[in-house]
Amino acid sequence: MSQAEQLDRAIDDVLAGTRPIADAELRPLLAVAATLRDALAPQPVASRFEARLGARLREPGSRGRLVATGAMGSAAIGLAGVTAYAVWRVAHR
Amino acid sequence: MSLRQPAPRSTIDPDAADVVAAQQDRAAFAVLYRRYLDRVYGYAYQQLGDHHDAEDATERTFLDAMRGIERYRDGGAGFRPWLFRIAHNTVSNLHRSRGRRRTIALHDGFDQVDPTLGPQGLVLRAEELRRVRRALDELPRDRRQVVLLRFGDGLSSREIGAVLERSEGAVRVLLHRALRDLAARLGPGV
Repeated sequence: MSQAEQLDRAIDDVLAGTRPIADAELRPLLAVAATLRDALAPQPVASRFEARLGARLREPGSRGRLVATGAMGSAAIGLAGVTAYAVWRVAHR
Repeated sequence: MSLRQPAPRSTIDPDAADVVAAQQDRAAFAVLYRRYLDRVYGYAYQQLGDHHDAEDATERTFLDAMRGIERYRDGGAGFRPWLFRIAHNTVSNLHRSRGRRRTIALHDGFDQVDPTLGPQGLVLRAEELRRVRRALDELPRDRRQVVLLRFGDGLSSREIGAVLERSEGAVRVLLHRALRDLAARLGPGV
């Protein structure tokens, strides 16, 4: 087993909180591993953010709704254009 | 001390049943969301160094993951690396679009220390955390990525390989070099 592989297996033990069995050469690296485990502990997520994103994920077909909204917008612009043209035609008769 | 769930060494994906449920019913995606929210957010925060950017990246990651879950097929690595690959790409895109140099989050460190340490202990611990984060920030990008995914998110070397598109052996070598590098920077008093 290579030293990199030995270290990798010992890191599993460090992450699990068990005492790793490793060569003396690897011990300073495992001390660093334990420090990293503590220093990189997960950051707490703001509960407001968690709730907001959770609600977004529960929305059915948010992408489909965007397309529908866009289509309705285009239709409204088209209708306004037709109306403006009709008004212009009437005014110029 | 906070312990991460060690990455499983077996090839059975512990998320497989929940992924199938989410593919059949999007409401079931909530289980995966709750399971990985902290880790994805933590990864984004460590990479971007800002809570708002991290929330933005986390939101994009989960929305993309939910949209893509129907097309997800386990190529052997499992769901977790697939999700972190999305997070990794999202964070990379945010870096590019904002033209920001990558940085390890350098907050004061006080929110991560044990409050039972006492005032002097708190200050020493916070200083130690800052030192570790500075050393991480000086690592080459590929080594830093591997360290963050291994220690911050608890991914195995095999899973990290799937996220970064490298072999498991290459990830182990990067990890070994990263720890040697950090040991040299931090000195014997780590």
